[in-house]
Amino acid sequence: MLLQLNNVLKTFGGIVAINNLNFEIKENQIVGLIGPNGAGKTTVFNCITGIYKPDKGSVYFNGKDITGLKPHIISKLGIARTFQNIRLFPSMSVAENIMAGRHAKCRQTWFDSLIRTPKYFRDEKENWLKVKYFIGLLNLSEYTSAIVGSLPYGIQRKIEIARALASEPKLLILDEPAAGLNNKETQELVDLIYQIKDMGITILLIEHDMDMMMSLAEYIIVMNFGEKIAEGIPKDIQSNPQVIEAYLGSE
Amino acid sequence: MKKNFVWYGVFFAIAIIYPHFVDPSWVDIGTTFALYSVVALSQDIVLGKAGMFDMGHATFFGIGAYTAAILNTTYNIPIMYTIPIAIALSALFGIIISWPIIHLRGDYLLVATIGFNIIFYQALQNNVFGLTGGPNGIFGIGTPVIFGINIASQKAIYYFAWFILLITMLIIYNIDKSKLGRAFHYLRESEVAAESFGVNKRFYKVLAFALGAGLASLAGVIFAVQYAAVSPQTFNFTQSVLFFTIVIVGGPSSIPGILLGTFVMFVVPQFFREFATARYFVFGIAMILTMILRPQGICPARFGKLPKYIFKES
Repeated sequence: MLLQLNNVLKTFGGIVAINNLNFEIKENQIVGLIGPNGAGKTTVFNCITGIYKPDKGSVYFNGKDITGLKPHIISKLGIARTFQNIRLFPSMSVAENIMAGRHAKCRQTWFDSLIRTPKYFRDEKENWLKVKYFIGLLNLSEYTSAIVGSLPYGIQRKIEIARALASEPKLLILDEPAAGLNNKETQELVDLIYQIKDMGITILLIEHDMDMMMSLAEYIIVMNFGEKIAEGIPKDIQSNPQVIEAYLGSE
Repeated sequence: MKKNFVWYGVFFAIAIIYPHFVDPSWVDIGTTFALYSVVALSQDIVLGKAGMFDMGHATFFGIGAYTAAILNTTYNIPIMYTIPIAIALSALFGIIISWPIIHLRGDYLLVATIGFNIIFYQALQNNVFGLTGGPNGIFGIGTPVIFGINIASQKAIYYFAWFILLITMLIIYNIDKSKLGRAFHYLRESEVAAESFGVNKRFYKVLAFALGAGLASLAGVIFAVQYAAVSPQTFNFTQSVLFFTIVIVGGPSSIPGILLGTFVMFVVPQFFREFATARYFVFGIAMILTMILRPQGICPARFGKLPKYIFKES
């Protein structure tokens, strides 16, 4: 089991965002997390990545209890993510943004940085070449030195994924990666997600595009009002009356 | 990049011949320009790179000057030995001061750092532990001796200050082009994203303060040597405002920007000296005009200067 949530509870000033949530994710799967707006999906992501600390319950990653750890420590254990509202470093270049993914892998200490030891030069070259590899992988070569803030939305989404991949994670968490993309871009994204899976990375994603989710995900978890209402393979989810009710409302 | 080095070459070449063509008061201005540039560059580590509103940087400048002054006059320790002590002490202060306030955002941090500056100024004024000499400060500070050469003449101190500026610029350049500088920049641009990719927020923010404090302190020692005296007024809140504005007006996280900023905010007002304190009109006007016309600073930082091998087809 790569990721395990046990009875996770998260409240914000009396409002229960996630209530006793349990789920497990197996290695090298594409898992979808769906639910109507305000179901608490992004809160789940934030509890896993350490942005929020759960009030109760525990999160296990790769057999290790990561509940309440700081985001930078969880990141080093092998979880990378993208954000619902793109969070890049807007005044920096594409390559520098993707280099952020290499931060934990860079071995130079701050002192190596200051006085440029041989270790500094080795480390820089090694990691910039990795960045170059991931730029190539996502076909971003023409934008290498472009400033991110001025690039189109679709490209920025790709840069976020490249940055996450550059950290060579075990688990990749994608928060609405297809939001704002056109059909062609969405198709590219689907292909990319399969490609990422083939790299041996487990993927957990939130997505509103139901057609895409049903064809892409191998396993789906459905949330409503902070609780899990169903989970299973896409075929079962599609015919689950509770899920249909959550999405369409009861008669 | 090569073009930049040519510009820096011209800049230092002018600096080398400059004192031979001007009268002594302008040599002094040249020395102070170099030292203020060092302080502004050190302020920039905290403000421009890591994006923290530190409005009390004169504190660290003052810690350097007073450490050298007290150790040299009271304990007869040679100036050269006071330099590492001053840097270490100030960096330690930077860590202690920033530790409890590092989580504060923007304006909250700004107010807290002003508070520290005021406490520091009052401590100097009130002759704490009978060491700081109260409002009059400390006189009779010695000169550094390097390899048996006494740096005592006005020109020698000038060149020494410029040497310190050169070292500082190299350090800042190295920070920019490394994991360290990138981590600062990531934190400034988006804290949540930076943390989500392994940047230890507290460590890097406190480190920014420690480095900034250490460098400012180094400038402080030479400043004490230049005037052979220190007094509290040089390290009050208004001085912090000057360093803060130099970075904002010149261009955050940009070496040429900060040198230009120091020139505009410190040297230009000296041209209008016959107008006495009215010369500070220039100071005010420069601040207002830059913020209206060029809010990103006169010469802002440019990103995307990458190692060449990244572009090579393989």
